[in-house]
Amino acid sequence: MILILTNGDDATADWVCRALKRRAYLRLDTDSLPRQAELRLHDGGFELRANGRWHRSEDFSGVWYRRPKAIRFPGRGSAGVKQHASEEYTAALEAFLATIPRSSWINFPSQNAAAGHKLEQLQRAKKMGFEVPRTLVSQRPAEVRRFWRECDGQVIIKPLSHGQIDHGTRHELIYTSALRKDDLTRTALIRRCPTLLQERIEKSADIRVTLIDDDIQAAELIARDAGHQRLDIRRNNMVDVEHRRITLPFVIARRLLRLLRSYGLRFGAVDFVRDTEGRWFFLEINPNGQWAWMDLAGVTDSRAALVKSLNRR
Amino acid sequence: MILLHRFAEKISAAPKKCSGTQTVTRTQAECSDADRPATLGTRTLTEVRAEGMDQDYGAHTAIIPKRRDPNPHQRR
Repeated sequence: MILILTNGDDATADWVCRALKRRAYLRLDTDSLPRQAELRLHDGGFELRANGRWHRSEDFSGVWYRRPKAIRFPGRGSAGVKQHASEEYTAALEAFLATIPRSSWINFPSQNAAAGHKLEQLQRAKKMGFEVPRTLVSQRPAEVRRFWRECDGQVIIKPLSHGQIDHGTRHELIYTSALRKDDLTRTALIRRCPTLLQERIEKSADIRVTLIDDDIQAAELIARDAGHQRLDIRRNNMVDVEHRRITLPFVIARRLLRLLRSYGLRFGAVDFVRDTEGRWFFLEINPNGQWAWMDLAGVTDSRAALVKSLNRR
Repeated sequence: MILLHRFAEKISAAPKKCSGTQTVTRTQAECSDADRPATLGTRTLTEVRAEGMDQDYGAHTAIIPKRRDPNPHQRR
């Protein structure tokens, strides 16, 4: 049986569950867990009750760590009391989950965390033989200007963490963008925070790879603006992106498997770009990235690979 | 404000329900499914397509996050 840890709004988990027989999985939406499950530890061991059945950790061949959210405790009580009750519940659940071997998880959360640093990924990928774009992280205006000159003004700027700014009722996104010459004069802004800059690659395609154990599926994502590949493929909610299934070059595939294993990851969603001369540049690994949209576009079947891996003892 | 913020662009909030604007046939079919209607529809597309908006969920070492999701866009 597969254990799925996620939240009630996770449409990708909905979609995976549709491919599974009812008794082949247990989905725990952790945000509503107190209504869904019961835990007990007694002489016979640790058990979790959900969907009318008691489960032991050994019942689960695999755990899909998708997108669990904090447990919300229902009912009356002050925020502090409910928060504490949630933490008690969490402690019990985590203790149960801790009895499931790490090797059964896709992926174990601390391994996601360890693999989640973009700059470290770039360094590691480079050491393993991947080409990576020239990169600068700096708070020094002179260094930024020098990088700009060295790259002939072909420099992109992108977030180190994520690109969303929440203003409460309105939101902003920061896409990968071309650095402009007048940005170089904003010395106070440059000094205020480390900024990630990279040499702009003249792309022929963006490439997204989904790895699940030994299964590798890859797609080219093509979107042209005035004859050039779009700088940030995610713009326009990707509605005009053309998807094409591709086979990774053998050398890239082999290195990629090595890279993921170096982090102890069984799953990874990896971004590359290919330039107009056919060179591949590694951009990043998303240890818990999205992939279902490519299945829906008909170019991958990662759902089948995921289910197969989670059923593996 | 930091340099990166000069590149921020306003977006509208993601739709909350099936709105009929989605274009992926499979998702449209799911949208009419009574099983979990609240989680399907346009939001499904937002989730599965807006890749990269998802970021690296799980960037914590606890199994279950202890606080409510601080990022309203996380589900993307």
